[in-house]
Formats: sequence, structure tokens, C-alpha cells
Amino acid sequence: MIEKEITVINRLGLHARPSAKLVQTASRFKSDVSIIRDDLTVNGKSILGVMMLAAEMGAVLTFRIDGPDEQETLAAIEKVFTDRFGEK
Amino acid sequence: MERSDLVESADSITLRGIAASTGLACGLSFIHYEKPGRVKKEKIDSSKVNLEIKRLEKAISKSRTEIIALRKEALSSVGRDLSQVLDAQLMILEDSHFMDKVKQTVIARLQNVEYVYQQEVNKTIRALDKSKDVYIREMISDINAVTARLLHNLSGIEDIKQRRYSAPVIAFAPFFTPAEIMNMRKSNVVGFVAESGGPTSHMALFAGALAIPAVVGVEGCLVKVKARQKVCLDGGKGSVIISPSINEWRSFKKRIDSLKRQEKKRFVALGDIPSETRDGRKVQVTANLEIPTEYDAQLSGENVGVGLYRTEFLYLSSTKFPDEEQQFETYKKIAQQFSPQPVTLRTFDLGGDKFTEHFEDDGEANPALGWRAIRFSLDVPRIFRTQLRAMLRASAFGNIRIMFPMISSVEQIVRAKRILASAKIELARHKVPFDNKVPVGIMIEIPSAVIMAHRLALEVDFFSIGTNDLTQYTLAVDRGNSKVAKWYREHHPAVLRLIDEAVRAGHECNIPVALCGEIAGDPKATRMLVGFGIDALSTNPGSIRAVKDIISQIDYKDAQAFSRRILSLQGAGDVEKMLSDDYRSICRKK
Repeated sequence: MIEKEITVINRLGLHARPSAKLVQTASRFKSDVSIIRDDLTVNGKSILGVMMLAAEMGAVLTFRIDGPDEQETLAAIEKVFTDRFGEK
Repeated sequence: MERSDLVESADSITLRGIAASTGLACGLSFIHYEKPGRVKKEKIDSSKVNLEIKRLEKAISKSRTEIIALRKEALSSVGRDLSQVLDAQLMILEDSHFMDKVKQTVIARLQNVEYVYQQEVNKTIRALDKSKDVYIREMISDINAVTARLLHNLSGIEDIKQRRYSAPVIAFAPFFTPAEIMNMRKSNVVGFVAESGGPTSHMALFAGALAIPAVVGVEGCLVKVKARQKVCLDGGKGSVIISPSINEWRSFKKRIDSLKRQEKKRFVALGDIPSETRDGRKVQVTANLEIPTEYDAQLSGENVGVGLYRTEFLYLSSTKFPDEEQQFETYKKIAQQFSPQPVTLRTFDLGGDKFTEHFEDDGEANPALGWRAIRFSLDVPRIFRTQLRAMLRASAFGNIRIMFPMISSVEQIVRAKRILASAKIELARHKVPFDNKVPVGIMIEIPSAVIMAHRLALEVDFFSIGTNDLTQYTLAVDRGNSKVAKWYREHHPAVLRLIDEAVRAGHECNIPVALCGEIAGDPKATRMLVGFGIDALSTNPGSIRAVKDIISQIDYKDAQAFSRRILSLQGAGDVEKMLSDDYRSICRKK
């Protein structure tokens, strides 16, 4: 299991489209993905879960990834964040 | 953001809200107020649990079909970016982790699906409701739209057939879902007023994309308006007048009529502007199209041809690859509409960013250099042949030309033409009519194609230079990458030299050379491009007039000399400056 903190850096935050993109990315992998914000833990493969984070720009999220491809999963997730979800 | 306030005169009431979509509208008020309401908690019998789960699955499946249809419609009416709102709705509906939880709860507590679903979804909504961020809060409307649809489909109530109001209507509601906005405009709804929402709410964006005037965030509007009152709406100012005076009503109507007349004139007499320079060099100006619009008839009426028809729209707007009949109908319609003007159909330019669900996205490290366009088509001949058959069949109904994208070698043309030839043989065998001499061309958008242009020209009937990709590949810059986007310069002399070279090669082999890409629609670049010897410029319809205006005011001889001077410059900045100065001097002479 690996854990990593990721900060939301795109201007519009984890609104619908980035949430969708994050869930799609997490779902490509076998590992379980949990996202933790303060005392709330949600499933990273559930869009209603990710939406529940209400993560605006600047929010710090902890990703807990557990499974056979956890490194690749984390790398892919970090990439969508650093790409700012393709936000223009 | 303006605060809403109420200004009351004798009879008329003026409400102020947030300008969401510009434009004027007047009509009768209609109050669209369906309170979602709390669903009742019901106990279900343990023997009926399976039925309850089945009911949920059926409602999900029906909702899915509806949202997919809406998304398809949204893609053609509001565009790709906004249509993604419906992708998000689809994902909410298909959230299997969430739905599993709903099912488990139904089984464990023996409660009805409606109640359990709403309880569960409210957990997310409550979390979002705490946020002050408008973009985060907007997700509530996404979730509500899905919930409303699902609950409706669970209710088993038949859908009310869409009615059309006999007179124009201004709709009032607490808020509108994207689906409501798309559907209501077909029922003669000419304006929207919503109690909630901000300038970036989905309803504002959808109304804007559909060019329907809308004012949102009008607090208290539902209390002030009654059904069937006269209403004037100014979407740009964010004002709504309820029961206006006769004078106000008349002046609004007058302004609306004059705006409509202006809009109609956009393409009027476009065909009267000569498509040649003062000294008689002909340069066609054609349109780039991808989706059918209400302007097609006007454009064809003005003798404008289609220089680039992007067929991938057909794929992007559908959930599966469009079959031959679907494609044939689309191509035939556009061929007939524009006949006798040519319509250049480009085969699917798919791949890279455009792959979504049909083919496994391998997460290519370099999608721009990856499996796309002709490379994809040649590897999936089943799809390619279907498309070519549809294009060939349409060629019997108008002046069709077929164009292959992203050609980098002679071999690709030979292979593509072989598939085209076999499609022709199949059609001929079944006595299906088509134009056996349908012209075949290629996009010149990869530097290797310019370098090999003389050889490629022997294989095809025309070239069309795609400057956007040519710039990206020549300068090795991904303009979607903000760190390097500043190095993407379509006026870079290297790109211009390649354009010049491609034109020369084409002409030496006696084939015409067109140019599409953003630069074709920039009137500042027109004299230079004409000077290179380009035979046709293909651009967004909105730019045709400006480009034709320049062509008809210049001399080819001057343009040639001008383009030679441009080619001697050393940087994009120098080129841009020279083009700006030149454009100003042309405009001054006017």
C-alpha cells in the first residue's frame, strides 16, 4: 500500500469534469484507490464519492492506493492533477 | 455579480438578475415548476426485493439511453466542451460502487429504491452544499438532474409528449437542467429566467451556446410572475420586465426584429463578391464544416463550396461507429445541399485526443505522433471501407471530393486508393450508382509530405494544406502544452516556406492546392497566401466575407512580390508585423 498527498492545483477545482477524469483514470487500474480529505474517506472509483470531497483549488487530498499496480495507478493519477485535467 | 432587486412602476415590474445569455426576447410567461419533492419511505416485502432491484436496473438503463441521446444532440447543438456535462451525468448514473451500495441497503433494510437512492445521494449533496465555490456547487445541479431523471423513470409515469406553444414563451423556474434547456427551445421557448444560478452555471452555458437569451439568479421571480403575463427579457443586461407598458413591449419587438434582419444578412450577397483578384487570378473561398447548421442553405445559396468537411463529428456524436447508411445519408444531404459546388469530405481524423470508448486507449505517450487519422483507417479497413462506400454512394448526388488526412508517405496513398478501388468494384457489382471519377486528394500537414510533394502529387487530384498540424509538426510544438505554446507560431518562416514549396510542387504537377487551417480565415494573411499561389482558402463560414473582400481588392502580381519579401524574413514576429502593416494599408485604401 502506498500513500501520497496531492494538492488540487487547477483553478476550477475538482468540479464535475475533473472528477469524471479522475474516476476514469483510477478505474483503469486494478488497485483500490481511497481518497482522504480531513475525516472523510471516499472511493476513488466512484464519482459520487469523489464529488463528495468538494475539493476546490488548493485542497490537499491523501491518496491511499493498494493493489498489484499501485505505483502505476499513483503515477497516472498524479499526471492528471499536474496536467490540471486539461483545463484551459 | 449584481444583486437582484425589484423596481416597481404602475403595472410593469422590472426584475434584475445575472446576465447569463445575451439577446432580447419577449413572450408570455410560463412557470415551469416541478418540485422534486421528497420521496416516501416504504417498506417492501422480502420476497419482492429482487423485483425492487430489477426496477432500479430498468430505470438506470432507460435513463442511460436518454442521456446518451441528449449527449448526441448536445454535441451538435452546444459543442463538444459543453456536451461533457452530460458525460458527467452519465458517469453519475453509472457509478457502480454507488449503485451497489444502494442495492445492498435496499436488501438490508427492505426499503423502496427511491427512498434509499435519495438518502444516499443526499450525502454527497450535503457535502457539496457546504462549499462556497461556484464550480464545486454546480455539481449539485448535475446530481439533481440525474436524480430527477432516475426518479421519474422509476415512477413508471409515461413521458408527456412534448408540446409546442403556439406563441413564444418565456420560461420561469427555480433552475433548468441542460436537458430542459435543449428540449424547451423546440417548444417555442424563447427565453429563460431562473431563480438560482450564476454566470458559470450549466444553464447559463447551455443557453449561451444555443443563443437563447437567459437571466439567472433572479431572486423572488417565481413570486412576482403569474402565468401568461407578457414578459420582455434582456439577457445581456440581466433584466426582466413583467407586464411591460405597450410602448416598452413595442420597442422590444422592434429591436428584436432589427437584430434578426442583421443576423440574416451575415451571408447575404457573399456570392456577389468576386472570387478573383483585380488582375483576374481566381482564388476560391470555401467553408470548413463539421455539423449541419441552419446556415448551410444560405452558404450554398451564395455559391460557397465546402473545402473541408470533418467527418469525425459523426463518430464523436454517436456511441458507436456510424454505419454505412447513417454516413451515406449525412454525406448525401450535404452533397445535395451544396451541389453543384464541391464538397470535400475528409475521412476520419480520429485518434489522439478523440479516442473515447471504442478502442482501448493505450495512453500513448505521444498521441500527436500516434495511431490516428489515415494510420488508424488503414489498420481498421472495415471502418475505412464502410466510410469510403458511403462517400462514393453520396457522390452520385453532388460534387463530392474525398480527402485523406495525415499522409506522410506514398505508400499510404497507394494503400488507401487500393481500398477505395475495391469499394468501387463492390458498388459497381451491385449496380449502386457513384461517380467513378470522384477526385481524391490528401492533406499536406506533415513536413515529409511537403518534402515528397512532387511524388505524392502524381498519385492524387488535389492537395489541401492543413496549417495547424503542419505548424505543430514543423516546429515540434504541442500547442496544448502551456509551457511551450508560445513557440507555436503559424507565421514562422519555416512553415511559410513549406506552404510555398507545397504549392509549387502541386502546380508543377498540374494539381490545385487548397489551404485550410486557422490562417486561411485571417484576412491579414490573405495577400501573402494568394501570393504563394494557393488556389482555394477554406475557412470557418464567419470569416469568408473578410477574406473575399481582401482577394477582390488586391493584385496577384503585387501579392506574389509581397509573399517573396515575407519569405526572406527571419522570424514569426517579423512576419506578423509585416502582415499587420500591409493589412492596415489595404483597409486604408478601401
